[in-house]
Amino acid sequence: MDIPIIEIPYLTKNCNEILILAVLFKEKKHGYQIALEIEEKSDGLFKFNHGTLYPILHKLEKEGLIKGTWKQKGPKRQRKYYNLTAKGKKYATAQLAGWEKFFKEFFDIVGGIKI
Amino acid sequence: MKQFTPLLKRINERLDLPQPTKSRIILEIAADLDDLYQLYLSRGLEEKEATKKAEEKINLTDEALNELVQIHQSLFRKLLDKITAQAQTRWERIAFVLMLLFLAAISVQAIFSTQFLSQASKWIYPVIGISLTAILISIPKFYKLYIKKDHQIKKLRTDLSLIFGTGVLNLVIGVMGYVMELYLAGSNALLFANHLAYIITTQEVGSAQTLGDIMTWMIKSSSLIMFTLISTIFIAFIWYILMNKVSKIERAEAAVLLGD
Repeated sequence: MDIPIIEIPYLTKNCNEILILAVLFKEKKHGYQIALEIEEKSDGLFKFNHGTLYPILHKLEKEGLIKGTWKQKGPKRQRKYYNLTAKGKKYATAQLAGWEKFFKEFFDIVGGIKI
Repeated sequence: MKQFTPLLKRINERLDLPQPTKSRIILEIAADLDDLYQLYLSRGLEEKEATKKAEEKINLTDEALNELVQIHQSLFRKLLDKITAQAQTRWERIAFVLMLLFLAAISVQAIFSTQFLSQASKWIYPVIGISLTAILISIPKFYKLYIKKDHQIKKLRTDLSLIFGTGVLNLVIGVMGYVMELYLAGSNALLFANHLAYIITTQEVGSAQTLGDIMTWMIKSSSLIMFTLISTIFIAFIWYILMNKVSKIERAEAAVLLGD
């Protein structure tokens, strides 16, 4: 498996993508649940505005990394649930390796700082 | 949900996309807005405050909307949505149904009233098979949309791509069969040409067999291409009518959310 390089100019984009993919790794969720889980798990560090969320979700769906399906919730309400595809799982695993490499190199440099 | 109507309307106006795509995005946002609203209510906020907080959380900026537009503007989808967004009025739909019935009538008449099948190229059988498949897929879809009125958003577009695909496959197989027949006839072209020249110059009765072969090929190929074109147009009309119905339902769903 080739380890992808996390490029500095696309840091936010890559970070948002891996956060969403990680949340969807275990089970399918809809947009609101994804945003809420990321926010709660990170104690509010990663606050996801839905405005940021939808373009990412729809882009990932277009790329075949996640799949959206409409499901009935309650008597009338419909929800679009997203789940990770096999391609998405592979991509997420590769991205995680990329992030591990990124942080290793990052701390190799900054880890020596002593106050 | 009515409290979010102005926001949804604003998003709807700012999304420069075909209405079916726009409707699906609006439905998704509306569902999340409702969930956020319920969450804030459960946290003890007043209705007005919960509405405000939910709207703030959604916060779809121009940049985010532009991104959504770019993501959804695939050329193929854009083309399909544009084609099906045309027929809206009752009279247009009636005209299309009449044309469909006319095509069905002449197709059935052509096939059953003459020796059409026995004279046609053998390539006609896969074309008939694909056409029947398209019809078999369409019947339950028509039943669900027009009689049972099962208008669940998640199931609306099910099978529509398949019907479109059968139409394309139908045309490809038919044209391929025609080209194959042309190739087979072409491989004897020199023979045909020599005999034809002989027939024309000598006008001998014995050459009628060769002339018959040429005519047989013409009938075989023309029957095939005629059936292919008619059945493809027929499938295309079925798809067109179903897509229009689906677009209309999606628009109606969006209109409810937008308070129109």
